[in-house]
Amino acid sequence: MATTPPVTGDPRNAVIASGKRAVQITANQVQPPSPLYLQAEDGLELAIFSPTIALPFIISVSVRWLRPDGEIVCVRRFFPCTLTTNLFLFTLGEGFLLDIEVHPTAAVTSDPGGIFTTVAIFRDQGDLSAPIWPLISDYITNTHTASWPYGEQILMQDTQGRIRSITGTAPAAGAEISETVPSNVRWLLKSASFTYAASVTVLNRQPGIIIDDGVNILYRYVAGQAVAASQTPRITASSSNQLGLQDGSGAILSIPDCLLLSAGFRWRTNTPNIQVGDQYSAPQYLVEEWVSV
Amino acid sequence: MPNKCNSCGGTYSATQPDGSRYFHACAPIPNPAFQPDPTKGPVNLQATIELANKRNENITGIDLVTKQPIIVSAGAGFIVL
Repeated sequence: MATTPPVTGDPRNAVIASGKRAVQITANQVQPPSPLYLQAEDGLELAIFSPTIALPFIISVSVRWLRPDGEIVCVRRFFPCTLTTNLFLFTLGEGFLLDIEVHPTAAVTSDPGGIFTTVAIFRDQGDLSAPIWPLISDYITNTHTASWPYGEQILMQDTQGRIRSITGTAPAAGAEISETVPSNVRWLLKSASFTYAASVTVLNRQPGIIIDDGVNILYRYVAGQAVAASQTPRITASSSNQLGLQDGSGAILSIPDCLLLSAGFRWRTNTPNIQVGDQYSAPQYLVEEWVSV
Repeated sequence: MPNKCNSCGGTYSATQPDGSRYFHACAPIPNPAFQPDPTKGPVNLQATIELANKRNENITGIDLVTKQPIIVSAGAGFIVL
Protein backbone atom coordinates (compact mmCIF):
# COMPACT_ATOMS: atom_id res chain seq x y z
CA MET A 1 0.00 0.00 0.00
CA ALA A 2 1.48 3.36 -1.02
CA THR A 3 2.04 5.96 1.68
CA THR A 4 2.61 9.72 1.45
CA PRO A 5 6.17 10.56 2.39
CA PRO A 6 6.53 13.04 5.31
CA VAL A 7 6.95 16.67 4.38
CA THR A 8 10.34 17.94 5.45
CA GLY A 9 12.43 21.01 4.76
CA ASP A 10 10.24 23.07 2.48
CA PRO A 11 8.39 25.78 4.52
CA ARG A 12 5.83 26.18 1.81
CA ASN A 13 4.46 22.87 2.94
CA ALA A 14 4.06 24.02 6.57
CA VAL A 15 0.55 24.02 8.02
CA ILE A 16 -0.55 26.43 10.78
CA ALA A 17 -1.88 24.14 13.46
CA SER A 18 -3.69 26.76 15.58
CA GLY A 19 -6.82 28.56 14.61
CA LYS A 20 -7.20 32.16 13.56
CA ARG A 21 -6.16 34.70 16.19
CA ALA A 22 -9.09 36.26 18.03
CA VAL A 23 -7.33 39.62 18.39
CA GLN A 24 -6.23 41.49 15.33
CA ILE A 25 -3.63 44.27 15.64
CA THR A 26 -4.29 47.34 13.58
CA ALA A 27 -1.19 48.80 12.05
CA ASN A 28 -2.62 52.14 10.95
CA GLN A 29 -5.05 54.74 12.31
CA VAL A 30 -4.12 53.54 15.78
CA GLN A 31 -6.02 55.17 18.67
CA PRO A 32 -4.01 56.82 21.44
CA PRO A 33 -3.25 54.41 24.29
CA SER A 34 -4.07 56.87 27.06
CA PRO A 35 -7.43 58.19 28.16
CA LEU A 36 -5.82 61.40 29.35
CA TYR A 37 -6.12 64.05 26.71
CA LEU A 38 -4.65 67.41 27.64
CA GLN A 39 -5.78 70.66 26.13
CA ALA A 40 -3.83 73.88 26.03
CA GLU A 41 -5.44 75.04 29.29
CA ASP A 42 -4.33 71.92 31.14
CA GLY A 43 -1.09 71.64 33.01
CA LEU A 44 0.57 69.57 35.67
CA GLU A 45 0.75 70.54 39.33
CA LEU A 46 3.73 69.05 41.15
CA ALA A 47 3.83 69.24 44.96
CA ILE A 48 6.82 68.11 47.01
CA PHE A 49 6.53 67.76 50.80
CA SER A 50 9.77 67.24 52.75
CA PRO A 51 9.39 68.62 56.29
CA THR A 52 12.70 67.44 57.74
CA ILE A 53 14.87 66.48 54.75
CA ALA A 54 18.05 68.49 54.21
CA LEU A 55 17.44 71.34 51.77
CA PRO A 56 17.92 72.10 48.96
CA PHE A 57 17.53 69.11 46.70
CA ILE A 58 16.43 68.73 43.10
CA ILE A 59 13.53 66.76 41.73
CA SER A 60 13.52 65.39 38.20
CA VAL A 61 10.22 64.98 36.37
CA SER A 62 10.09 63.08 33.08
CA VAL A 63 6.95 63.24 30.96
CA ARG A 64 6.06 61.56 27.66
CA TRP A 65 3.05 62.62 25.67
CA LEU A 66 1.64 62.06 22.22
CA ARG A 67 1.15 65.22 20.23
CA PRO A 68 -1.78 65.59 17.81
CA ASP A 69 0.63 65.27 14.90
CA GLY A 70 1.52 61.76 16.06
CA GLU A 71 4.92 62.56 17.52
CA ILE A 72 5.77 61.17 20.95
CA VAL A 73 7.62 63.84 22.87
CA CYS A 74 9.66 63.29 26.02
CA VAL A 75 10.71 66.11 28.28
CA ARG A 76 12.67 66.08 31.51
CA ARG A 77 12.49 69.05 33.86
CA PHE A 78 14.29 69.79 37.09
CA PHE A 79 12.69 71.50 40.08
CA PRO A 80 14.82 72.85 42.97
CA CYS A 81 13.16 72.26 46.34
CA THR A 82 14.20 74.93 48.82
CA LEU A 83 11.22 74.86 51.18
CA THR A 84 9.45 72.23 53.24
CA THR A 85 6.52 72.45 50.82
CA ASN A 86 7.18 73.19 47.17
CA LEU A 87 4.52 73.70 44.51
CA PHE A 88 5.26 73.87 40.78
CA LEU A 89 2.93 74.35 37.81
CA PHE A 90 3.92 73.65 34.25
CA THR A 91 2.15 73.05 30.96
CA LEU A 92 2.87 70.60 28.19
CA GLY A 93 0.63 71.63 25.35
CA GLU A 94 -2.07 69.67 23.59
CA GLY A 95 -1.83 65.89 23.36
CA PHE A 96 -2.29 62.58 25.06
CA LEU A 97 -0.36 62.06 28.27
CA LEU A 98 1.48 58.74 28.19
CA ASP A 99 3.50 58.56 31.41
CA ILE A 100 5.14 60.59 34.17
CA GLU A 101 8.03 59.72 36.46
CA VAL A 102 9.33 61.66 39.47
CA HIS A 103 12.55 61.07 41.42
CA PRO A 104 15.30 62.98 43.24
CA THR A 105 18.41 63.66 41.19
CA ALA A 106 20.84 62.82 43.99
CA ALA A 107 20.89 60.64 47.08
CA VAL A 108 18.54 62.35 49.53
CA THR A 109 16.86 59.63 51.54
CA SER A 110 16.82 55.87 51.35
CA ASP A 111 13.58 55.47 53.31
CA PRO A 112 10.00 56.28 52.43
CA GLY A 113 8.51 58.75 54.86
CA GLY A 114 10.80 61.64 53.94
CA ILE A 115 9.71 63.10 50.60
CA PHE A 116 6.11 62.83 49.50
CA THR A 117 5.09 63.93 46.03
CA THR A 118 1.80 64.49 44.31
CA VAL A 119 1.14 65.22 40.65
CA ALA A 120 -2.25 66.27 39.38
CA ILE A 121 -3.76 67.65 36.22
CA PHE A 122 -4.39 71.33 36.67
CA ARG A 123 -6.77 73.34 34.52
CA ASP A 124 -6.28 77.06 34.21
CA GLN A 125 -9.73 78.50 34.88
CA GLY A 126 -8.82 81.73 36.57
CA ASP A 127 -10.32 81.87 40.05
CA LEU A 128 -11.68 78.36 39.65
CA SER A 129 -8.27 76.85 39.00
CA ALA A 130 -7.81 73.65 40.92
CA PRO A 131 -6.27 70.22 40.57
CA ILE A 132 -8.86 68.12 38.80
CA TRP A 133 -7.27 64.72 38.34
CA PRO A 134 -4.69 63.31 40.77
CA LEU A 135 -2.15 61.12 39.00
CA ILE A 136 0.65 60.51 41.50
CA SER A 137 0.57 60.34 45.29
CA ASP A 138 3.62 58.51 46.60
CA TYR A 139 6.94 58.76 48.44
CA ILE A 140 10.16 59.01 46.47
CA THR A 141 13.54 57.78 47.68
CA ASN A 142 17.00 57.26 46.24
CA THR A 143 15.76 54.10 44.56
CA HIS A 144 11.98 54.44 44.39
CA THR A 145 10.41 56.64 41.75
CA ALA A 146 6.83 57.79 41.74
CA SER A 147 5.17 57.17 38.41
CA TRP A 148 1.94 57.23 36.44
CA PRO A 149 0.10 55.23 35.16
CA TYR A 150 1.67 52.13 36.73
CA GLY A 151 2.67 53.57 40.11
CA GLU A 152 0.61 53.42 43.27
CA GLN A 153 -1.47 56.17 44.79
CA ILE A 154 -1.00 55.98 48.54
CA LEU A 155 -1.78 58.02 51.63
CA MET A 156 1.14 59.49 53.53
CA GLN A 157 0.80 56.92 56.31
CA ASP A 158 0.24 53.90 54.06
CA THR A 159 3.81 52.69 54.00
CA GLN A 160 6.69 52.20 56.39
CA GLY A 161 8.21 55.44 57.64
CA ARG A 162 11.63 56.98 57.71
CA ILE A 163 13.85 55.68 60.51
CA ARG A 164 15.54 58.57 62.31
CA SER A 165 17.94 58.78 65.21
CA ILE A 166 17.54 62.33 66.47
CA THR A 167 19.81 64.30 68.75
CA GLY A 168 17.62 66.68 70.73
CA THR A 169 18.26 69.81 72.75
CA ALA A 170 20.56 69.64 75.75
CA PRO A 171 18.63 71.71 78.29
CA ALA A 172 20.25 74.26 80.55
CA ALA A 173 21.14 73.15 84.08
CA GLY A 174 18.04 72.59 86.17
CA ALA A 175 15.78 72.45 83.12
CA GLU A 176 13.79 69.60 81.63
CA ILE A 177 14.05 67.85 78.25
CA SER A 178 11.28 68.65 75.81
CA GLU A 179 11.09 67.45 72.22
CA THR A 180 8.35 68.58 69.87
CA VAL A 181 7.09 66.76 66.78
CA PRO A 182 7.90 69.08 63.87
CA SER A 183 5.28 70.67 61.66
CA ASN A 184 3.84 68.45 58.90
CA VAL A 185 5.27 65.29 60.45
CA ARG A 186 3.95 62.26 62.31
CA TRP A 187 6.22 60.30 64.62
CA LEU A 188 6.14 56.83 66.04
CA LEU A 189 8.34 57.23 69.12
CA LYS A 190 10.20 54.00 69.69
CA SER A 191 12.82 54.82 72.33
CA ALA A 192 14.84 57.61 73.91
CA SER A 193 18.02 57.66 75.93
CA PHE A 194 19.74 60.37 77.97
CA THR A 195 21.66 60.88 81.18
CA TYR A 196 20.64 62.79 84.26
CA ALA A 197 23.47 64.16 86.38
CA ALA A 198 22.17 64.97 89.85
CA SER A 199 24.05 67.69 91.70
CA VAL A 200 25.46 67.27 95.19
CA THR A 201 22.30 68.61 96.77
CA VAL A 202 21.00 65.81 98.95
CA LEU A 203 17.48 65.05 97.79
CA ASN A 204 15.87 62.21 95.89
CA ARG A 205 14.82 63.13 92.35
CA GLN A 206 12.20 61.10 90.54
CA PRO A 207 12.60 61.40 86.73
CA GLY A 208 9.44 60.87 84.77
CA ILE A 209 8.19 61.22 81.23
CA ILE A 210 5.14 63.05 79.95
CA ILE A 211 3.47 62.84 76.56
CA ASP A 212 1.30 65.82 75.71
CA ASP A 213 -0.42 67.33 72.70
CA GLY A 214 1.33 70.64 73.26
CA VAL A 215 -1.08 71.62 76.02
CA ASN A 216 -2.87 68.65 77.56
CA ILE A 217 -1.11 65.75 79.23
CA LEU A 218 -1.89 62.43 77.55
CA TYR A 219 0.43 60.10 79.42
CA ARG A 220 2.75 60.16 82.38
CA TYR A 221 5.19 57.65 83.81
CA VAL A 222 7.59 57.98 86.72
CA ALA A 223 10.76 55.94 87.10
CA GLY A 224 10.54 53.26 89.75
CA GLN A 225 13.78 54.26 91.35
CA ALA A 226 14.84 57.67 92.63
CA VAL A 227 18.06 59.37 91.62
CA ALA A 228 20.13 60.39 94.62
CA ALA A 229 22.65 63.20 94.91
CA SER A 230 25.74 62.93 92.68
CA GLN A 231 24.34 60.00 90.69
CA THR A 232 24.35 60.07 86.89
CA PRO A 233 22.06 57.34 85.62
CA ARG A 234 21.42 56.71 81.97
CA ILE A 235 17.68 56.77 81.52
CA THR A 236 16.02 54.84 78.72
CA ALA A 237 12.44 55.28 77.61
CA SER A 238 10.93 52.43 75.65
CA SER A 239 7.87 50.24 75.57
CA SER A 240 9.85 47.21 76.71
CA ASN A 241 10.07 47.28 80.48
CA GLN A 242 13.65 46.28 81.16
CA LEU A 243 13.46 46.36 84.90
CA GLY A 244 17.04 45.15 85.11
CA LEU A 245 18.11 48.70 84.38
CA GLN A 246 16.56 50.00 87.58
CA ASP A 247 19.78 50.49 89.51
CA GLY A 248 21.99 53.44 90.32
CA SER A 249 23.51 53.48 86.83
CA GLY A 250 20.34 53.21 84.85
CA ALA A 251 16.62 53.73 84.95
CA ILE A 252 13.75 52.92 82.68
CA LEU A 253 10.77 55.01 81.68
CA SER A 254 7.96 53.08 80.11
CA ILE A 255 6.16 54.56 77.13
CA PRO A 256 3.14 53.14 75.33
CA ASP A 257 3.72 50.72 72.47
CA CYS A 258 2.96 52.14 69.01
CA LEU A 259 3.10 55.69 70.36
CA LEU A 260 1.98 57.81 67.42
CA LEU A 261 2.46 61.55 67.84
CA SER A 262 1.16 64.31 65.56
CA ALA A 263 2.81 67.63 64.81
CA GLY A 264 3.03 69.79 67.93
CA PHE A 265 2.84 66.85 70.32
CA ARG A 266 5.73 66.58 72.76
CA TRP A 267 7.56 64.06 74.83
CA ARG A 268 9.31 65.61 77.79
CA THR A 269 10.78 64.81 81.13
CA ASN A 270 9.13 65.83 84.38
CA THR A 271 11.32 65.61 87.43
CA PRO A 272 9.92 66.33 90.86
CA ASN A 273 12.69 67.71 93.10
CA ILE A 274 14.92 68.66 90.17
CA GLN A 275 17.65 70.99 91.42
CA VAL A 276 19.20 74.01 89.72
CA GLY A 277 22.52 72.20 89.43
CA ASP A 278 21.07 69.04 87.88
CA GLN A 279 21.86 68.43 84.24
CA TYR A 280 20.05 66.40 81.62
CA SER A 281 22.08 65.49 78.56
CA ALA A 282 20.84 65.96 75.02
CA PRO A 283 18.45 63.08 74.39
CA GLN A 284 19.05 60.63 71.58
CA TYR A 285 15.81 59.16 70.39
CA LEU A 286 14.52 56.80 67.74
CA VAL A 287 11.45 57.58 65.71
CA GLU A 288 9.71 56.37 62.60
CA GLU A 289 8.62 59.42 60.67
CA TRP A 290 5.99 60.16 58.02
CA VAL A 291 5.06 63.29 56.20
CA SER A 292 1.67 64.46 57.47
CA VAL A 293 0.24 67.46 55.68
CA MET B 1 27.75 74.35 64.61
CA PRO B 2 25.57 74.12 67.71
CA ASN B 3 23.18 76.89 68.62
CA LYS B 4 22.30 78.18 72.05
CA CYS B 5 18.74 79.32 72.61
CA ASN B 6 18.60 82.72 74.30
CA SER B 7 15.18 81.95 75.72
CA CYS B 8 15.81 78.68 77.56
CA GLY B 9 19.59 78.27 77.43
CA GLY B 10 19.38 74.91 75.70
CA THR B 11 21.97 73.93 73.12
CA TYR B 12 21.13 72.13 69.91
CA SER B 13 22.18 71.62 66.35
CA ALA B 14 19.73 72.71 63.69
CA THR B 15 21.23 70.10 61.35
CA GLN B 16 21.43 66.48 62.36
CA PRO B 17 24.47 64.35 61.48
CA ASP B 18 22.58 62.85 58.52
CA GLY B 19 21.68 66.33 57.23
CA SER B 20 18.10 66.28 58.44
CA ARG B 21 16.78 69.42 60.01
CA TYR B 22 15.98 69.84 63.69
CA PHE B 23 13.51 72.38 65.02
CA HIS B 24 14.15 73.51 68.57
CA ALA B 25 11.28 74.38 70.88
CA CYS B 26 11.81 75.49 74.48
CA ALA B 27 10.72 73.18 77.27
CA PRO B 28 8.09 74.15 79.82
CA ILE B 29 9.45 75.43 83.13
CA PRO B 30 8.35 74.60 86.68
CA ASN B 31 5.32 76.55 87.81
CA PRO B 32 6.52 78.75 90.69
CA ALA B 33 3.00 78.77 92.12
CA PHE B 34 2.95 75.00 92.34
CA GLN B 35 2.49 73.62 95.84
CA PRO B 36 3.40 69.91 95.99
CA ASP B 37 1.02 67.61 97.77
CA PRO B 38 3.11 66.23 100.63
CA THR B 39 1.00 63.09 100.78
CA LYS B 40 2.10 62.07 97.30
CA GLY B 41 5.81 62.02 98.07
CA PRO B 42 8.46 62.32 95.35
CA VAL B 43 6.17 61.15 92.54
CA ASN B 44 4.19 64.34 92.82
CA LEU B 45 3.75 65.67 89.27
CA GLN B 46 5.88 68.76 88.73
CA ALA B 47 3.41 71.36 87.46
CA THR B 48 4.79 73.38 84.59
CA ILE B 49 4.03 76.47 82.58
CA GLU B 50 5.25 77.58 79.19
CA LEU B 51 8.25 79.90 79.06
CA ALA B 52 6.99 83.45 78.58
CA ASN B 53 9.42 84.21 75.76
CA LYS B 54 9.44 80.73 74.32
CA ARG B 55 11.31 80.01 71.10
CA ASN B 56 9.72 77.50 68.73
CA GLU B 57 11.46 77.00 65.40
CA ASN B 58 8.75 74.85 63.85
CA ILE B 59 7.48 76.22 60.56
CA THR B 60 3.95 77.51 60.26
CA GLY B 61 4.05 78.78 56.68
CA ILE B 62 5.92 80.71 54.05
CA ASP B 63 6.25 84.49 53.80
CA LEU B 64 4.82 85.18 50.35
CA VAL B 65 7.05 88.24 49.91
CA THR B 66 10.41 86.97 51.11
CA LYS B 67 9.69 83.30 50.29
CA GLN B 68 11.21 82.46 53.66
CA PRO B 69 9.68 80.11 56.22
CA ILE B 70 7.82 81.59 59.17
CA ILE B 71 8.52 79.99 62.54
CA VAL B 72 6.06 79.66 65.40
CA SER B 73 7.87 82.08 67.71
CA ALA B 74 11.34 83.59 67.64
CA GLY B 75 11.55 84.13 71.39
CA ALA B 76 14.81 85.81 72.38
CA GLY B 77 16.63 84.36 69.39
CA PHE B 78 19.73 82.22 69.46
CA ILE B 79 23.47 82.47 69.18
CA VAL B 80 25.80 80.22 67.22
CA LEU B 81 28.41 78.68 69.50
